[in-house]
Amino acid sequence: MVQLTLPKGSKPTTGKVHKAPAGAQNVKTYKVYRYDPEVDADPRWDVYEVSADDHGPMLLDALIHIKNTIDPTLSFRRSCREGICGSCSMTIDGRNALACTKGWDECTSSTISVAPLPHQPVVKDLVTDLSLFYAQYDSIQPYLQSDEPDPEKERLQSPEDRAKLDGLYECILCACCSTSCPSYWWNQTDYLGPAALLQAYRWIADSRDDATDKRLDDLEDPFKLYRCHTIMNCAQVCPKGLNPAKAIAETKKLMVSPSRKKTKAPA
Amino acid sequence: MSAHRYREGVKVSERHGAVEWLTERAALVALLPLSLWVASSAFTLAGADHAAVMGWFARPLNTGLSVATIMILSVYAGLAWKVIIEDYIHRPSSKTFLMALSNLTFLLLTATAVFFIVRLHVGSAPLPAGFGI
Repeated sequence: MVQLTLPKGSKPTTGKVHKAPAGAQNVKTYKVYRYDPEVDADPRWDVYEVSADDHGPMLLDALIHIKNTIDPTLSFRRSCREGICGSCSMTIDGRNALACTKGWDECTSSTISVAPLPHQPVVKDLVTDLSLFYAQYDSIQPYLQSDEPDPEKERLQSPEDRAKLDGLYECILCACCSTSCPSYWWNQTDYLGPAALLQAYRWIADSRDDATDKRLDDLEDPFKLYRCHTIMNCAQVCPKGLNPAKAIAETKKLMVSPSRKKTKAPA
Repeated sequence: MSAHRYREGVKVSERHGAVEWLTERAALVALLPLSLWVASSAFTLAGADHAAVMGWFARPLNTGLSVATIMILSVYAGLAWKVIIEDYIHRPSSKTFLMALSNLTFLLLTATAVFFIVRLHVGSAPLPAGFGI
């Protein structure tokens, strides 16, 4: 049944407050989610007052500054710091984003909240367990499947066909979209989520791929595909400006296309 | 516990869903003109006397469109409730019970509505003889 009460460990308490040094200028306040499930009974909000003059322009710069100078126990993922690797996805000021491409001055709240991606198991602090998210991506078989023999060089594609992949191939699998989707929150074990479905459509739309009918059959399911209710949070939060909801809508249209041929179900 | 099948943690496709999706869309498209017709009919019949309303129902087109509206609306609402139950109710026994209850409710409501529309069409009393009114 519907859960009307929060499960254990989901209600953060008030944590430590790290005050800015006396005389600090341009001070920003960050409320950061802290939780180590192996040690803590409940998560907590730690507050850090940081002078924006001491670090770079992005929220990731602020987090790195906090870790380096105030609290080395803070855990978060980061790598490329330029919006390519997707590691530093988190909920910033109430909305999923990449910490490395979100400027702290873009946040409008007086206290900027920083939390892990919603509805994911927390490994520690801002680090979530994305195993299911990656398994769902793996399940859509994100690679070219062609009936043609391997060519001597590359598989050619017309500029028009190549243009159909724009807005699809750029996904960096940061999970901002899937974890912002209420339908994914309620049914994430059954619904593939916007990211996996965007990538599924990326291969369905690829003129060089010959497994379209099989891909569609593997997606045709009341939950895997049709839990998308066009809520559009995915398109709103995507740090790359992609529109997974549109890709899902295109997949739904192809499902009822007269040209579709159903393949034999595996045993 | 879920009754679904999983492979490496990911649900195995049930290989259906497209027909339900298409049915929902087709019902919605059909309801758009029917809703306008219902609104215009309600506007026309507002303040009309009993004889005028009976005369309106006596016309086969009005009866046919009324029955079609009720049936399509029931299909659409039934599918919508199905989605809501599937979204939020995760225990299989509760889900099965609520789905059956929802289907039965819409079936009874539709059958009742069609019954009375047909009786109005043939000019009968609202209830058959012996039912009190």
